Amino acid sequence: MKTFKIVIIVFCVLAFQTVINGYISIFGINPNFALISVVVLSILYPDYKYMGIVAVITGLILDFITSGVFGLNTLLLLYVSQLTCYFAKQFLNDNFMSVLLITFLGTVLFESIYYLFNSINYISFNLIKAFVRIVLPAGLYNAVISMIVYPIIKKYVSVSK
Amino acid sequence: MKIFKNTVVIVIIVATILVGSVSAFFSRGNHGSNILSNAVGIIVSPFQKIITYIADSVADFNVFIWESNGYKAQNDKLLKEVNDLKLNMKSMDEYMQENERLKRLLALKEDMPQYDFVAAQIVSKSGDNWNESFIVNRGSKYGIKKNDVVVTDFGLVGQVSEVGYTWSKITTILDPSSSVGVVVPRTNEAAMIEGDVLYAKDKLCKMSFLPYDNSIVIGDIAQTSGIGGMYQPGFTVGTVREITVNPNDKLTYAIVEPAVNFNKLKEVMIIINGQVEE
Repeated sequence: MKTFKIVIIVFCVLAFQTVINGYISIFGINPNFALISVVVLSILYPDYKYMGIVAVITGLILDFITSGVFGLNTLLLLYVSQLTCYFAKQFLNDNFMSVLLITFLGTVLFESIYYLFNSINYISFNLIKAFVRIVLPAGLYNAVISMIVYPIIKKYVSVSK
Repeated sequence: MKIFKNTVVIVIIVATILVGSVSAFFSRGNHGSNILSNAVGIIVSPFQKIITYIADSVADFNVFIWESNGYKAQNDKLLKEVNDLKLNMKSMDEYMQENERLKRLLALKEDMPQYDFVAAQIVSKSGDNWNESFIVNRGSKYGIKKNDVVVTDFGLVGQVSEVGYTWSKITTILDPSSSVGVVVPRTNEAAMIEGDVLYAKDKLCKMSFLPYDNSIVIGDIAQTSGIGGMYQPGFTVGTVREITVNPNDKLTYAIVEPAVNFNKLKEVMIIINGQVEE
């Protein structure tokens, strides 16, 4: 039942990521629903192996849909899921503040590595501009969105939990 | 007792005669209101008016109560009708807009008979912050190949970067991997328009490889030059919005606003016979 519910969540997240995102971007910044849901699920279920599989599947589907370096989404979502599981096991509680903080930090990590990887290929390297224009706003935007996503996912999976 | 009985009878008789006489006196020769009834009427009528008003109100209220169910149903029905009409108007508006877009795409097909076009609809966008691509609902089944050029009636959109049987991935000119050879028809100067991740956030791209002494001005239009064989010549790419000169390396670059509004893009045309044979 838990797995079934997570599959539904992943499906919804990917639909949001690819169809709805264009309509809710602010100043060209798109929220990363895949990352937000991986963070929330990892806090709710801090199981390295289980969340690793969820992150890899979500990332692989995203890699097929989006352009850019293939496998990068998979790799970065895997990092975020494992780090979140680690923090959740060590000191994080299942609450809004943890989700907000980890989503922000996870986004900064995700977008920074994404930028560095892409800059090797074709992006002109300007880390400070990229930080100010994309990485930090994306972190803030994702953190705000996570405040909406977190209670929804928590309520949805609470029965199976 | 007998006296009392007689007195009572006498009082009744006197009273009857008195009332009869007074009544006869006041009504004599006057079939309308008499003074007494008039006086009574003056005193009573305001009260009657109030009572009538109250009674009417109560009656109206009763009618309202009795018919309120009907009003509610009617109100609900009218609200539903209004909503339906609003919805119809909205979808009609959408149909009209779609019709306009399709008409323009058809006109493009008629204007450029040398090309074979396949119309495609955007089904999803990349959704991340670093790439500018989208997926359309047409693939190799319709003759689409990798590197086919994608346009609208406004100008160049990008290029097909991946092809599936029923879908294709389009990389737009905003994407950092994109570079298009262009020419400014007014000055006949050639340059390159490239995607830049920072400018892409504002739906702009960068025109580089401009000579230091170029005569390009803001408002100039850039078109595909056809150099390199990747893009067919003559498609509008965008308009110059800003020119920047770097005094150190004497390099000039311009910020170009694409002719296509990527925020509102829904349908595109893919040129399936435009590739230069190698």
